[in-house]
Amino acid sequence: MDRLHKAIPLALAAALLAACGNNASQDKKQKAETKPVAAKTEPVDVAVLGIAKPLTDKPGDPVNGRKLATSKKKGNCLACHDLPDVHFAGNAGPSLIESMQNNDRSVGWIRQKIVDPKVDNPDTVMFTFHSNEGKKMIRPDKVGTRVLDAQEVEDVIAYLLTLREKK
Amino acid sequence: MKTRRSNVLLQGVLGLAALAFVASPAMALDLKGYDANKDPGLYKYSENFRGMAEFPPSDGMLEDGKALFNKDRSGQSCATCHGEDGEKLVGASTHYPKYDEKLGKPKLIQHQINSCLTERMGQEALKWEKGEQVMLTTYVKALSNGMPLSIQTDGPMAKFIELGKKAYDERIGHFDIACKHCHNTAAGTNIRAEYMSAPDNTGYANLEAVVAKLPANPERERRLAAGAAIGSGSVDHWPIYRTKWGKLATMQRRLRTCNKNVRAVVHDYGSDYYVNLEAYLGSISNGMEMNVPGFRP
Ligand code: HEC
Ligand code: HEC
Repeated sequence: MDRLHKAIPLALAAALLAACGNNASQDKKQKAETKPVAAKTEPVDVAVLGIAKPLTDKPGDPVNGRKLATSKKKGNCLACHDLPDVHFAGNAGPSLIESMQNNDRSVGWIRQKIVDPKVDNPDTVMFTFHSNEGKKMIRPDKVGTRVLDAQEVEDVIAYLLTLREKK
Repeated sequence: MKTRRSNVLLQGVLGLAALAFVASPAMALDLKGYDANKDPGLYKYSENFRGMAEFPPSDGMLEDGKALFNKDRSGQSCATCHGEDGEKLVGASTHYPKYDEKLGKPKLIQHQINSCLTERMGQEALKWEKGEQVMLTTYVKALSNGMPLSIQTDGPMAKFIELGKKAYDERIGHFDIACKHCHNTAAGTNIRAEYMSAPDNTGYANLEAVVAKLPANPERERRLAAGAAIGSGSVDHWPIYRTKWGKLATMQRRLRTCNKNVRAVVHDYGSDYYVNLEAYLGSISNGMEMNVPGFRP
């Protein structure tokens, strides 16, 4: 495939290089998939390992999780990620079908990604779904709410894990 | 000019004055309309949409704008100061947003039109984003069609462009995401059905070569490559006619919509926040030919 180089502003390119040590002009999907999950030789990095403990005591409901992930008002994950049986999914993020089937991200890492994806990648395009820390200029009608509340995060994770089981 | 289409929407609003002027035979000025072939931002859209762009629904609206320009307002019209059909304003809009000494900050064409109306003509200011303001702004911008956008970036403007860039780079809203994430990091990808491209002039200088390298198909592949390789520009082709909105709209409306979509605070039309953003967007589109009103799905 003839992939054209795109001009990434210098500052952004520098940030990308610093963040993952990858060639900035590389395919975005590649970048996401090849980024190291806590390499074994490195000191334990809580941020990279993620949030091991579920946010609630109630187990996640995968059926509701699918609803949330595919609804425009809630998760809207399909705006950027391919998911099974959806139309017109975006591709700003990696396919979650492939991602769930082909890699060994820990559940804690996935939870971290949904709670606050900036921890893993400061320059991420992904929205911050649960943490509200440091958010600026929130629309007044959304102040004091979360995009996905704690149980909803658990539901979405439960749904994503069903994709993993299909392997 | 392209084939003019009767514009049902506007005729009612503009009434007899407009019709009288449209019918006037003397054409002092060779006003160029939107030229789809000069809009690099179109490459990411479908064959079908690009076909539509050859004869967009906005065809003929410049005549309506001209009528408003020449319209008598208590004994004066815009033409009283700016020449018949605005011939003395050719090129002026390439410099907007432009620094205003008196205000000590940049202003939009809309601000300038309002100050002409209130300070020199004893008229009321036009309401933001209502038909008359959008139409007049579009007309004044179109007077520069074919001329390169050349917004001042040094001197007193430097500070405001820097502020605009800061706003562009800053994560905001409930979704916690900045303009640059959707429009630069994600350029060349799809967010839902939208093919993202950067609002700058990437690829514009050697457009032919870049276009020649685009994959012909599948269509999705071609569009994504176009989004990654060709900036769509912004200030050069705004106001636009957006099919989704069914009317002409200025950059101010676009910026408010982008804010709203990430669940961020929406500022007032013409506020410093949006003027600075528009100045920054203009600075990264400098050099592109003005091509107004643009056409987007
Ligand atoms: C606006 C775009 C966008 C939205 C909406 C979005 N994501 Fe993402 N996501 C990304 C991008 C881009 C990446 C690639 C890595 C990065 O930059 O963080 C990613 C990465 C991920 C990953 C890691 C995949 C891997 O193996 O590397 C998971 C899991 C994930 N997203 C889940 C979700 C879920 C669940 C939702 C909805 C609740 C969601 N995303 C909504 C853009 C998005
Ligand atoms: C969550 C994604 C997202 C964010 C964040 C976002 N936009 Fe947009 N923007 C879009 C979409 C979708 C479109 C319509 C498709 C296109 O033109 O690329 C658009 C269109 C535009 C356009 C018109 C481009 C053209 O070709 O005419 C401009 C200019 C623009 N946005 C500027 C901004 C600015 C400035 C900000 C920050 C204040 C911003 N956007 C934030 C999604 C976003």
